[in-house]
Amino acid sequence: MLIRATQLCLRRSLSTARVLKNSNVSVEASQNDVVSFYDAKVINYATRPIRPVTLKELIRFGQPPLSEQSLTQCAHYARTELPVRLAMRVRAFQNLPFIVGTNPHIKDIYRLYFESFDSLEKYSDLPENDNGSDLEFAEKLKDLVERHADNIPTLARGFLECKKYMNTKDMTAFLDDMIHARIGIRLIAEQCISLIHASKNESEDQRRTSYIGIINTQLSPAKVIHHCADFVTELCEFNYGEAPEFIINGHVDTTFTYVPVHLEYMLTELLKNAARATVENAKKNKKPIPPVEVSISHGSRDIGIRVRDQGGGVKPNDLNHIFEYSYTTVKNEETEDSNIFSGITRLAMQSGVGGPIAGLGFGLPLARMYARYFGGSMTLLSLNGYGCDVFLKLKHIDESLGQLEI
Amino acid sequence: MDCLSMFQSPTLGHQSFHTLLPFYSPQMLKAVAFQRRAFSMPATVRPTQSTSPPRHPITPPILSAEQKASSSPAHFYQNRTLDYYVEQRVTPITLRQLVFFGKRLNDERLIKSANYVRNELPVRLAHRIRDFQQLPFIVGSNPHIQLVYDLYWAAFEKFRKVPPIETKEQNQEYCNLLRTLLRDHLVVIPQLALGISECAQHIPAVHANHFMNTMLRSRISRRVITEQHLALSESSQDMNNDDATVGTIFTKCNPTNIIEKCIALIETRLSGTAKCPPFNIDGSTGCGDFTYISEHIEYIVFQLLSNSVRHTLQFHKHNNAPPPVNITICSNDTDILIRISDQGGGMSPEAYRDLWSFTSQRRFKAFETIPQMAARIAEEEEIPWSWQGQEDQHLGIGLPMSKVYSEYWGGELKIMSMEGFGTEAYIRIPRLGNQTENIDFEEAQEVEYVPAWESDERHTIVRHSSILGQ
Repeated sequence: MLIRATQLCLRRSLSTARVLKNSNVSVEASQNDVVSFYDAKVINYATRPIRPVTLKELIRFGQPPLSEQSLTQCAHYARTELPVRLAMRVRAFQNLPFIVGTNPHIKDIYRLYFESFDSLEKYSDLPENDNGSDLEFAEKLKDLVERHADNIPTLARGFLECKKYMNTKDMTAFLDDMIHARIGIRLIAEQCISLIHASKNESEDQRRTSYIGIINTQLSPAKVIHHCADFVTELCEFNYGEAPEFIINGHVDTTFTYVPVHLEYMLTELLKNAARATVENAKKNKKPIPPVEVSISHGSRDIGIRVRDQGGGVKPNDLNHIFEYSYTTVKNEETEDSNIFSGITRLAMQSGVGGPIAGLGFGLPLARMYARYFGGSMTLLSLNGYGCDVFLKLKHIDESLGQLEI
Repeated sequence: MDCLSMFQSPTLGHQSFHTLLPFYSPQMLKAVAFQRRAFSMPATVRPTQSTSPPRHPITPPILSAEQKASSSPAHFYQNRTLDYYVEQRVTPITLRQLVFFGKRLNDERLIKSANYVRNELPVRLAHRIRDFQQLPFIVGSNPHIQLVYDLYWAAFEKFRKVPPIETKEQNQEYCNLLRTLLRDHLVVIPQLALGISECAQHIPAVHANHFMNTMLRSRISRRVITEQHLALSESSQDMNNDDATVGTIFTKCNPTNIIEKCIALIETRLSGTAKCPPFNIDGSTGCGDFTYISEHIEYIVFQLLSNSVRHTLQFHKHNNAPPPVNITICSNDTDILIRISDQGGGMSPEAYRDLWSFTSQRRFKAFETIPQMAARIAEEEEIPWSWQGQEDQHLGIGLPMSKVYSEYWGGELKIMSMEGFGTEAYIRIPRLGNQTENIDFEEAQEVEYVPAWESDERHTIVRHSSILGQ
């Protein structure tokens, strides 16, 4: 059946190629697109059921002492599972409205997912105990994780441009699924990579005993906040010439079990928002810049982080849309006067974790998605005319979340 | 319309609902009688009165057998009079209308006001009586619920029989009637709260909370128009009219003053028992005056501040210098916002989830030990301390009541907690006075979050808010 499909595929692609050749369109490019239309591989994988892994298993894979067996199991799981999930992402793109799919940003990401799926697919049918290919697989994964690092800003740009072609409900559904799946895929991938590498470098492993793969069992929120605050201060000074002071108080000595990159991303977003609002508001009212206060609390089952600013708050009209994708309170770049300096600062703003300092409308919904992934929450309260409070509640990743499926 | 005569038959006799389904065992009944004595108290805190709260043992008025509507077999058929009033619509008003009306008061307007109240009260009360009648039968059989039902029915009968008011003398009589009923109904809130909490197993929590919130809202609405009219009647006789006050409405409400007043009251009540934590007030302290029923805001601020103080003192028992309670005032074109932030240790997720619930058994935990205690009269002295605390606190009704007050003219009250650290309360009071009374309780509430991938409903319905991002 597969042979017939391939024959059909070839015959059709050749005939179309002939037609296109005659019309002076690049054959190669069209062959790629045509191949992906007729390629049964994607559908084949996308229709397989997902086998979720529980958080407990994911942690268990990496708990010392690391054994050959648990590593092999982890690698085998990743090898068979990731292609299925990637195929489903590809399918989701294929279901977008045609005009949206032709947007160059969105098309780029679509191609990226397709190629990633393609390159991992050949590992999925290998037997379980193939250690040599495990290392190769880990290298490949690492490469892919890096290539996918800037997916979200690119997608964000694409969807911003497509706002008028797609209704909000469908876009929200697509993005919710997309981001949720992406977090899961990366979690499995990065856990697998770090375990495979850790097993090869025993000494390194002993140094960072608090880590189980990418999960840090002794993550200090205060340290992460300091780190993100420094970064945001730099960004702010570069962009505005000055930055607010960050005051950190509460249970500063507390630690908990969490994925550091997730926490970093969320905090950077929140601190960026707070800093931007504070500086812009102070400048508008010609007042000195007030500090941004970050408080940490250690509860029985979760960690609370409150970011409190005096940035003027959010207007009630905007409040209802603040967690929508592509909703931004920053003026559209095209309408502002652009000169060489604004161009440079814009480029500078586009560096760093997660993307630009503001303007794409993805920061808050994305951060909230991360917060909710492990059963946490993000709540924003605004005192219009004064400032905002954002509450981040993050559950300890421990036994109680053991049954959470990734 | 005398339905009674139709049904005086030997078979119906004098059966009363009370005997049909005893709600309690004898022990519980004794406990209930005990509580009735202890928990009647005024619904609004009037900080201008004496500093130490006098214990008002207002006993519920004793209704005769004929007056007890629920026990009368003819009551079902008398209900037809209620139908007429239930079908009429309520005329909600805005604060601005009240002020405008009250500022240019003359005799003619006073009579007009009296007739407005005269028409509104039976209609508003009728709607709530109908709510009672829709409760499950077992809930309606609860003695506390029945007491309130009987009180309401008696009041309804009195209200609807008042003839149109045409002279100031008639107005005076009407005002006297209003005053009596206001005083008699002071027991309603504790009775309802007790009743509903006892019925937790017979009614889904959602319905119970909806019922209570509607009751409380309507109660405020009736009291507002009643007290406003009473105040106007009194001031019309009083020649030195204070320009800033229009009945119960104060046109020079200032957040800083209100907060300072509440702080003073708390410090007085605490003096001698514990060291009061410091208070910091910041934000737009110099913001302009606005028009509101000052008492409402004072109630809310007082409740929240006393909660903050109580928790701070408890959490920092062993600390000589308890951390401060920070109050921030924010003023914009449309609202006054007050944020009260404490470091009182916050609350657990369970406590937070049940914050606004009227049926949570946790709140009334002390009552679980009553049946054993009341059975032995000598034990009465060993009442847990919490019963002797602040008036509303031992019933746990201060917070839900504050919420109802804040939402009455379209404001909000939100509470956020950081377990192990502290709690924040956000109050929003609209300052333009152009929103009508919120009498009916909307169904849309803050729904518990369900992740998008766990449910097909991508959009959960959340009530529109000017403080909470959605």
